[in-house]
Amino acid sequence: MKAILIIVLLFIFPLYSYAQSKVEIEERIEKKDVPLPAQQFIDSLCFSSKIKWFVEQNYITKTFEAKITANGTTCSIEFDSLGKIEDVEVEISWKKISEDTQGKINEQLNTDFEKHKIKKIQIQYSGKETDLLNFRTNTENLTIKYEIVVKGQKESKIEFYEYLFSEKGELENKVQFDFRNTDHLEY
Amino acid sequence: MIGLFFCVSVSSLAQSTYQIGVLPSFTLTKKINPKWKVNLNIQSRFSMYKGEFSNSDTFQEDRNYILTDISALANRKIGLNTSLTVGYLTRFRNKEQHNRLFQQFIISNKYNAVGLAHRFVTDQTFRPNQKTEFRGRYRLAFDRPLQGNKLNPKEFYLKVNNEYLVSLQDKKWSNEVRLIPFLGYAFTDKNKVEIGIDYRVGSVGDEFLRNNFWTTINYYLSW
Repeated sequence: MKAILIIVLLFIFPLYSYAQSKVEIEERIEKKDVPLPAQQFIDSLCFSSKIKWFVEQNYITKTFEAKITANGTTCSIEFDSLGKIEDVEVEISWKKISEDTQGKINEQLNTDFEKHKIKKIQIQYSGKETDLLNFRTNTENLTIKYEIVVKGQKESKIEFYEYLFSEKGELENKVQFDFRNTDHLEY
Repeated sequence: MIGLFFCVSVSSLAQSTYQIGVLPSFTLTKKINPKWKVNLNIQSRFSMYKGEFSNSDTFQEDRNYILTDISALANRKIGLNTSLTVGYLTRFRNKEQHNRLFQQFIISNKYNAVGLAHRFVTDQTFRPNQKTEFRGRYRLAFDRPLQGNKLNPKEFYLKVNNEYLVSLQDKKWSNEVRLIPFLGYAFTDKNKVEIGIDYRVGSVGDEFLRNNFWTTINYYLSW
């Protein structure tokens, strides 16, 4: 009985740890290595800029991502392992978020950290594939969320976090990143 | 800025000397707590060839050990992206020992895949029977992974350092510019090796330009 309990705990612990921190391996891949439905989705959007494909893997899932930079705006389109669209993320500035939502996000970050700096903001669209195909012109039927990367200091410790807020600024998820070592840049 | 750097050095080739060599370095960094880090660096220089750009007959082998630097630094985080460092370096060259104190202010940032670090340094060098040399330095360093947007273990990255130095000793000013492109490999996030060409061009008084090309091999270990 004791042995079974230990084995169960050994399985649960890595999953619990994963929920607290984000560990992903991202690799650049060729278009031909991407599932066909994902290729077809991107082709139908007719981007004029270069499309870079990546595969992201963590302990549990594998996703495919297309990244496009057009007119200074970066857009990431994420697909599941079978190539089914998951969401579209577009990098935006803080000013593009409504004042009410900004207030709620700031409230949350001020609660979580002594000091913080927003490093990246993406507006995230999810919904039906047919609606996502029109994300550039019509977002009416899409669910909107904000994914925000924050560098925050709490109790003298500085870490990176990825937050997910609803359109109204309610916290939906928060994961800690691995802190990137920069010794080779500084010394 | 880099273009200007090359224009200045190429236009002055007629009056300049060069030295080619190897510059291996080993950097150990230990994080004491979330605010403090200590760092130990050992670096040596070996010359291989030397000559003058204006006269190809002057090219000659020059296989010599030149010097070894040992430095120790204490680094304190003062903000989310900023830190202050104080350090001491001792240089062993031609049976002499030189001592240097230095102070650094570092701003490091990450923009998607690109890492950027600005380093501002002041240092004071003490040599036997010479007046103290004072230097001001600014270095811009950037890196980016060569596979994907995030540097994972067992992946390569590109790093470029561009540094500007001014020096004052005994009322004489001199300056130097350095440009160092590196190819790096991360065994892990805290264990990296880099190889690059460290090109330095500096004025020696008003007489001539000194060019150095060092094949640089850096090894970084942090824990």
